[in-house]
Amino acid sequence: MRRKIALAMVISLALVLIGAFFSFVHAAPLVQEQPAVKVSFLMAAVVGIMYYLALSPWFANIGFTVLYRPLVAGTLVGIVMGRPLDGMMIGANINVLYLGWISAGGSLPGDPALAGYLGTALALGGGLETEQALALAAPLGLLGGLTWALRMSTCSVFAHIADSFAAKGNIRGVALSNLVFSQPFLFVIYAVPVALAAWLGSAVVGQALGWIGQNAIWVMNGLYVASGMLSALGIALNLRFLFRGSLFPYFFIGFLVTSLAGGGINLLLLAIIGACVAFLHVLFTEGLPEVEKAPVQATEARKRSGLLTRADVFKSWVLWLCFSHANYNWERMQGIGFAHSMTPIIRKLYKTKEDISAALSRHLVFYNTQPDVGGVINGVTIAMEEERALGADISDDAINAVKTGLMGPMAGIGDTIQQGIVIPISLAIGMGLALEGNFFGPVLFAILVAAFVWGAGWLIYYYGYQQGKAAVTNILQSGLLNRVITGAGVLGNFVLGALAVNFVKLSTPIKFIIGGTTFELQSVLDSLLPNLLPLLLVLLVWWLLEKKKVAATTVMIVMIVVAVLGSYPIFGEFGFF
Amino acid sequence: MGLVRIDDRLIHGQVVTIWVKALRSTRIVIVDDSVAADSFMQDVLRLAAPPGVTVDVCTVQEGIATLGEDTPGRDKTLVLVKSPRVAEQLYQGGVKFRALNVGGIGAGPGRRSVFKNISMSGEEIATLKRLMAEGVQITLQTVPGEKCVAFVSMAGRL
Repeated sequence: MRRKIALAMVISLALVLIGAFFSFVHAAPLVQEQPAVKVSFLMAAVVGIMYYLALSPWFANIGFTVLYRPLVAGTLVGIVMGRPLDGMMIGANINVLYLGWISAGGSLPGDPALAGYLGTALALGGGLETEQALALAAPLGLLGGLTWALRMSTCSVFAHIADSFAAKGNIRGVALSNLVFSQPFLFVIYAVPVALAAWLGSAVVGQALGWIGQNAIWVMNGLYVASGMLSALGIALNLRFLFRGSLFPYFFIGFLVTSLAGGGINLLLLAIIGACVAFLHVLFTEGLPEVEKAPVQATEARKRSGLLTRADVFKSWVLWLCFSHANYNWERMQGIGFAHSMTPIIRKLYKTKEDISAALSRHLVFYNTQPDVGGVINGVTIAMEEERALGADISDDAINAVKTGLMGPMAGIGDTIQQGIVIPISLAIGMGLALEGNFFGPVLFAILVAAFVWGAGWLIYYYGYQQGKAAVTNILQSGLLNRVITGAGVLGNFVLGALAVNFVKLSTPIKFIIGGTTFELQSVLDSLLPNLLPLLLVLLVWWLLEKKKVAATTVMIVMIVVAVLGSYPIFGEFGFF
Repeated sequence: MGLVRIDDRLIHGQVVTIWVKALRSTRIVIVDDSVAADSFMQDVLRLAAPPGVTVDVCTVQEGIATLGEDTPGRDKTLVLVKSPRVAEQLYQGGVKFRALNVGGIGAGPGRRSVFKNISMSGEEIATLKRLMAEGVQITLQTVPGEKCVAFVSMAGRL
């Protein structure tokens, strides 16, 4: 315990010093270049509705994977409030903190969408600068946990309504009960509070900032300091997954290339260079994957029955794509979503009320996986249901065993690929472009993610149906998967190195006066290595998170408090030198 | 061993993306009679493990034999079981773990919701209470950093 306290004190002291140094940079009185946006009720309502839509099932999984991310949220809020460019820049800055954000197995560490939508609205409404918004948005993100807990508990109740429809053999009832209760409820708990907070909150934030601007300008400096530091936290959080093994040098390469280019390097080009480097790394360390022959045999092995068409499987996939999480809850997780995805199949395969009821009930049980890669399980299940309908001896237990056995492993791989690779790397590229004021940034991010979620999602789903259980081992065994993960690690490190230069801002105002000559410490540091301090801050935070097991929330709160307190002019008046 | 975890989904997102990294595990031991008899599932679980992590699947009897000799080198082993019953069988067989993490038990017939995504039957709650009486520190937590609840604090209400 004593050691922990000692450690905490040392860290706090170090952060106070960093914060104090940094406060000098912006010590000149702030000029609010852009006037605050007057938030009308209509604007606030649209922001609230957009926040609901980001968590809703209406955009074929593009909600959670794209609209949920602060880069996109900020851009949309900016458009609504008439300041698209500022909104996009604010969104990109907020998104740095959530670059390594992963929600696995129904756990939600902070809420990027709340930080993105409400954070941007309040920042624009309160007249904050782009580089100050993160300090306001980061604590907001923590509040998302409240509605999440309410949602996950309440939607458990709706699951039982689906049960009673299943008992009656009512296919349409089960499908509807995935939506008609959960969505109005989610609309109320998501859209209404955020709309009110954006409407009423922006005036409060604006007034508070106005008062601060008049009476305590140092707090404004503190917000700059905090935002600059929090960017380092976001980068470090992502590094926890990437900065290891033989991959870490690529972080420094990305950092150095960008730093030496003066920071203004196009991140898309950099990512393409990174991808080439990643390919070479994989080629030299693991070689090219061997050509797979097994799938052809497996296709021949499984007899096509003709009961189901490709269109049936496609319908099932669309339902899964949209509604897998529509009624997500603690008790069944995606259970209702899974049953919903099976409704076109059940309607086609089973005719008697007993068969339909039994089929609906067996798919309403607890189920949870990653929807894109885990879609292979839906495909396999459809194949098993088809064989069963044809008279094969496949018990409820056999179907259940495949589902429950596979949902975990496929979620592990799916989360690694979708949340760990596709989204963060696409985001990093999009954020880099956004920071240069390029609207192609959020658009490119959306295109890349949609290509994966829709393209790969359908291919995997249909492959599961075609191949049956063999699909799973084929996907896992093909050496491609590990190569993609390794290559993504190289690319991820490379891109993060570049982002550290672009987003983490830290410099020192310290001057030495030796023999009448003034030496500015910052220019000495720059002559050694440009952006040395941001690099050290990122590595310090990474070390705290990874080696000292300090919670990210603790780091976040300490950073904000230290940055604001460290900006108090007492440091400025007395100075250090 | 590093951690004994009850999780009926065995290896999945929380385990792969968070626990293995937090514990720096290089080995996962799955103790489950039905998986030990299913070569397809064993393949899937082995292939689903993150690179650098080996997966051993064994029956309860084998688990008692291999985990019982608690060598220091096993510090980072993550032991996964599906139910409280298997955890108790291991403990009674001589695998005297001090801490037990309950990470996920899906809802089903006879089970009621206890905490977040954890549901248990009366029998399973009784099993955990027996382990608690033996001095095992039982916590309910999905992943590190999330809310962690000590079983002892809720046992009275169950």
